[in-house]
Amino acid sequence: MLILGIETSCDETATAVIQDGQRILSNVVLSQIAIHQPYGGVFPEVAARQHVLAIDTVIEQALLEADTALSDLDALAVTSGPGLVGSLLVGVNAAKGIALATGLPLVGVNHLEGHIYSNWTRPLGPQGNDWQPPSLPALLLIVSGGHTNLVLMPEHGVYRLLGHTIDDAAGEAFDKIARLLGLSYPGGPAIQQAALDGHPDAFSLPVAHLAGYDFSFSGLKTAVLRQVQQLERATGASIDPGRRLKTAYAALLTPQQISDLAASFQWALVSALVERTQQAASTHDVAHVCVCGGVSANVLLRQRMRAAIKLPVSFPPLYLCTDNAAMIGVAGSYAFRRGEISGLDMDVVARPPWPHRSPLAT
Amino acid sequence: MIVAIDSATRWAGVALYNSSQAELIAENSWQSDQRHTVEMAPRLAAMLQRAQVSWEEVRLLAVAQGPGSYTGVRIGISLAKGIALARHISIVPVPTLDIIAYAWRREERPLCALLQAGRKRLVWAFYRRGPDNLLAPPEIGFPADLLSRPQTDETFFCGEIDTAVRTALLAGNILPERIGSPADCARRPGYLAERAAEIATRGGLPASHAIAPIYIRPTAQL
Repeated sequence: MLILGIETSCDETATAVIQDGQRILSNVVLSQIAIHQPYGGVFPEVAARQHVLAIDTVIEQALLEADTALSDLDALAVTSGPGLVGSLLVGVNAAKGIALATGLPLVGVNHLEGHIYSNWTRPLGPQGNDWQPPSLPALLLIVSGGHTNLVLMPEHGVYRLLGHTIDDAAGEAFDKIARLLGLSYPGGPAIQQAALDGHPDAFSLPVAHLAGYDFSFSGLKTAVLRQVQQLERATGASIDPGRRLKTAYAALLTPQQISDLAASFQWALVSALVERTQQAASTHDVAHVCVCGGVSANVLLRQRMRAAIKLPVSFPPLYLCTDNAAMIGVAGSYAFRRGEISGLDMDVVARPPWPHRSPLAT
Repeated sequence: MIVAIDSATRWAGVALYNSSQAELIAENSWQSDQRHTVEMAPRLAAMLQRAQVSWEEVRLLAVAQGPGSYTGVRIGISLAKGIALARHISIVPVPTLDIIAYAWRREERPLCALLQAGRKRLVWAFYRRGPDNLLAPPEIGFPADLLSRPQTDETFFCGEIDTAVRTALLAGNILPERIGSPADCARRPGYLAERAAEIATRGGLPASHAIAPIYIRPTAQL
């Protein structure tokens, strides 16, 4: 079975060809990071404009690299949400054009479900030889720039949301703190790099303990801001309280202070993620813990999660942590096997209900 | 056989045109209020099915290139790019204002083709006898800006003229007979197909991957 995956939910124009629901034959990602860097985040209209310029070239590239023709495919899988509507529309309509002209079945894929299935993707190279897919039931931690969710997955395609962030997503907090500290976008890799020279216990930052399995990062974010303001005050510089998080204060901080703040923030955020996941894993009957999404690339998160959880823990390979179409192709393969075919009237959904297909949803 | 796709504005349309026999086989226009993604592909499929035409017979695609709704234009171009990629056929992008100008190419009076540009603004261009004779490049502004532009007493106004624009034009001393009626103003995808056929005969069509929307505000000005 061969599936073409298409992903345009945010700022990556991505396509992939997936064989038998797990093997990556090609994985093309055209990133717009450099284009959005001057804005300190994704500029939705610019993202959509880039997608429409690149979409056909990127699809052709995936087919070429997989040495595959459209006539060899069994189906098309495309992200239909959540995401930026203007961006999603490009991938969905290009997929519809191919489906119209070839008769190939079209499978709309939830972007979050795609991230989940990045753990069901056979890694490229020697690592893939003795790879085994995660066992079910699994506990899923989805951590990205737009989402922070703890989810139970008793079987394929069935999800039960245990908890989610009540304010910022973990990746969003990384981006905002990076901006505050004058670090580059995206914030995750920048903070991780800066933290290498810092001490995680240099500053005592709070971790929110909410009832259930929900997360909150706004208090942590504010605590970093207050700490920065305190350090600035010590320099004798005047502070405009109205500037808040959108302005970089970094000019008045020393490189060591920036590194210490980055390390302390990263430690506190990772603590929140690990503690909640550990709590859920010990309370529910699960055989495996899977972490996915852009923040799952974080080295400290990987180390501490593996050390804290006594069950098998899976992380996607780094090239599948950020948005990609391989994960959409794999998720689409499972959906296609279940007969979940979308009509040509499929719409995009900016914020589809989560979980979108669960008879166990609470 | 040409398939035309126009999703540049709320007024959407698809057409099937046999250029070798100069025959408009099917044409479908409708008000699609931000439902282009849901409606375009099924209507295209239904049009070809009803006409008993297969995608193998389609040799060319025509698409409204903008200006218009940013999202709407991208929907049409993305759909066309998907079809073109699957069928290995070319796309002829046609500026949206040119579709209006083509429809009025036999009109002797100068034409002001206009479209809604959001926030009560319009985008317009002046033509004489068709899209190949553009008198002034497209501009964006309010109806008052349009009325302040030099024009003859004969200029005919046509395009996306809703009640508010019609009222503004009449208030600016444009006589009713110089303003297109609602039916005159409906942009027809059949004209898009015909204009694309005309362009295709000249050759030199762009590669699909080089086709980009025409935006009212270029990316550098966002």
